[in-house]
Amino acid sequence: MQLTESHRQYWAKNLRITAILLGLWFVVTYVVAFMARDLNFSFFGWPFSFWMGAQGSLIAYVLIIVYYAHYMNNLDKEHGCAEEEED
Amino acid sequence: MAGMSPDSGSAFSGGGSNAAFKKQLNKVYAWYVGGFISFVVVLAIAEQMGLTRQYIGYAFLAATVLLYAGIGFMSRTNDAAEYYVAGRRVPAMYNGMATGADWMSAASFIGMAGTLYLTGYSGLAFIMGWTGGYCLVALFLAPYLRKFGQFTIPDFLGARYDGNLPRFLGVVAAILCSFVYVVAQIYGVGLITTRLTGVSFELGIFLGLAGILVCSFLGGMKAVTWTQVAQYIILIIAYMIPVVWLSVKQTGFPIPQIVYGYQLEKVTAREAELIKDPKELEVIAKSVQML
Repeated sequence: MQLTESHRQYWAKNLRITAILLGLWFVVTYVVAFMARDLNFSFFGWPFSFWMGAQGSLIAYVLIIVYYAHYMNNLDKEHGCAEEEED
Repeated sequence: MAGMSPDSGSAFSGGGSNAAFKKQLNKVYAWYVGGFISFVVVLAIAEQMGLTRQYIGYAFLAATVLLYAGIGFMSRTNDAAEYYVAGRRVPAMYNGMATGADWMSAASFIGMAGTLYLTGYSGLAFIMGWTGGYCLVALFLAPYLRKFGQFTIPDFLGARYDGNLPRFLGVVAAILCSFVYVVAQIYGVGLITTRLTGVSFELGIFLGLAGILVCSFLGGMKAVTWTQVAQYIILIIAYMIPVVWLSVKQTGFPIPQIVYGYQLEKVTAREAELIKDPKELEVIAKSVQML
């Protein structure tokens, strides 16, 4: 298959959004866990690092996935490679 | 799309358009929720009239196994796309429910609270690991798996990287993960069956395995998805009611996720108090002597 300019743009955008979201994922997962002792201020009655482990990072994960799905759906439509919906 | 299967009359195959399929699913699961609630009400009435706890356990076990077996039987198929990937047309919300039911598995149901209590902050690694893993699946695997049109991850790796070594690595990883996971799950299944029915642990394991086999063997991924959605509805109710109840009793606020941090503060304060208690010190001194 011949790659067109549209394909290249699509792939560049795909890589960019994946890198950004993966960076976010890394921060809420590893950076917060690594700094756990220093992030000890109280948050909703929890030490902040505990809250991140129990709820905060999970909320961040869900938001990352929701945003990614939304973004990629739009990108698919823009570049004409969305799946055909048989309505 | 290959949505047609030999039994396109049944509720879970729906040969028509995606919108009609979704509508039909909504209807089926609305009936299912109604049925579940009335089943619980009937059991509550039977309990008031003197049904013993043991028979309530039997009734629950029989009803759920029959139900999942029924769904498994109705979803039977011999179409490869239906069997391996549920025809690639499960609506997002239902797929989310099925995945959620996997998340709330036997291990998390009976093991997670204790693990967190014992290990504290490090125990949260389990929670973050198996939720954060979904991000990696979503960003790196799932969309490409779908676009490549493969059924399994080793297949996908073999097609994408063109060779048997990547495929082999995929197989090893898949077997390693599922083996560890299944051992814990089977143990949990045995424990729960024993607890609910009073049969011996070994028999409990076989009963549970038979249930799983009936549910998944005939219909593959299609059957698993639709039984998982049914389980999700029961699980989410079973998880939420006791916790919301506790939260209302303890704090007067019905959303436990928001207020349980404050409750944990109280538990910590109480713990510090108990450790200084003279009786507790006596017990600790005695247990040290015994060592």
